Amino acid sequence: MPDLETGEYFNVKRSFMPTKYMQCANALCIEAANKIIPSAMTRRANGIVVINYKKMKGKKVFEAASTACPYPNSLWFDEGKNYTDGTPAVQPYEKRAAKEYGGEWSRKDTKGTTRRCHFCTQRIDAGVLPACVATCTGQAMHFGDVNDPDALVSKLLKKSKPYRPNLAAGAEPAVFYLDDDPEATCMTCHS
Amino acid sequence: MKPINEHAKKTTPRREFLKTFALLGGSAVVMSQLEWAQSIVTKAQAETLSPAESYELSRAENILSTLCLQCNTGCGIKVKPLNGVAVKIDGNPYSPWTLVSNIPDTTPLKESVPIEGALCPKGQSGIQTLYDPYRIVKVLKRAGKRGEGKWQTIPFEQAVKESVENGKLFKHVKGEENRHVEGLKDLWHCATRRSPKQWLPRSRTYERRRRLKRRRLRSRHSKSSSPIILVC
Repeated sequence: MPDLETGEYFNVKRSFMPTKYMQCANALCIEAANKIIPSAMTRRANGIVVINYKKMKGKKVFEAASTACPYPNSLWFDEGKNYTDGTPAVQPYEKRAAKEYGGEWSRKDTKGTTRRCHFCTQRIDAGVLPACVATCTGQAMHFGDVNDPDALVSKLLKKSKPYRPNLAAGAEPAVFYLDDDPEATCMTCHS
Repeated sequence: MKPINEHAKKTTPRREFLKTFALLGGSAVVMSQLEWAQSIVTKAQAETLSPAESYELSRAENILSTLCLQCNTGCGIKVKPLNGVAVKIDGNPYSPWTLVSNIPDTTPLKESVPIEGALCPKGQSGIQTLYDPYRIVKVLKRAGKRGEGKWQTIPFEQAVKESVENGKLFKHVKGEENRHVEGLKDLWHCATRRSPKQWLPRSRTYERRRRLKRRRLRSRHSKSSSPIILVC
């Protein structure tokens, strides 16, 4: 998460920007990954990009996809590490299978693959909001269908000035940063 | 005084309790939810489970409502166990701490399951505290000299007994065979006096009255085996 402090004591300001996988409408990583391993990355009808963990293995695909992506740190490589590695016992809560993209993936399946934010597909399918949106104590994040004019997200987009970084790359990301005054916050870095 | 283990013998052993509990749970399913459970099983066999049904963590039976104690705010949380292991903690929508304008208490569980309250990172990491490999879950008693880092596990009842009563508690340690350790009961007379000034020796009449009081109290609770009453 990029983090920046500006100003001098005592008019100091701190701005940060949570970066996640942008689920771009014209995702450049899909082409780059599929060139190396065909159909490693696909797209759902609702726009969410799906990674096939059984296929997309190895650092080569990961590097191809992440260099094609115009946004930094949106993909990460799963080295199969655990929080309790190097302790007397790796705890059972870490060994359980991951439910992602409507399937079940064991720890062996996900090790050595490219992973990233998938808008909590397993939760959306079950009618629950993504974990980051539900758990944010500041209620800073919102999730919904932009094409639905009655949805909260489309109302919020109309209300404030949405900002999307690096639009020149032409990826058309699906993540918008809402700010009443992007000039003062976003533009300190992205000008 | 009764031997320590007598209490444990009288109560239902944990394993038996679990058995009864499991049976009760089983019969509850048979009575009310057999059809629903059967339909889930047949669907699973035919691999036609809808995504909502296949995601276990959004089922009401996999949610325990409880209280977060990672800090002293005490937010309402829902813990989601899977095959006996707690795998996820989320904010409880019934709690005003985790959801601004919380849902009413009368909301049925089925409707509240997809709603989730907010929870801070400290609360989220409750699983790491619960399943910390270095977490001490038994009472440890010093088994070597101070600072040697040698410990032995003792039952909880023994720890309570030894802290209340006095005695040569470290007989097993070399050099401390004859060391007498005071127990909480030796401090009892300090605790009952109101202010530190009163901890000083009192007049003979005061002590005489006190002795009488103690005797009365002891005779009133003569049948009780509680160590605290015995101390009086």
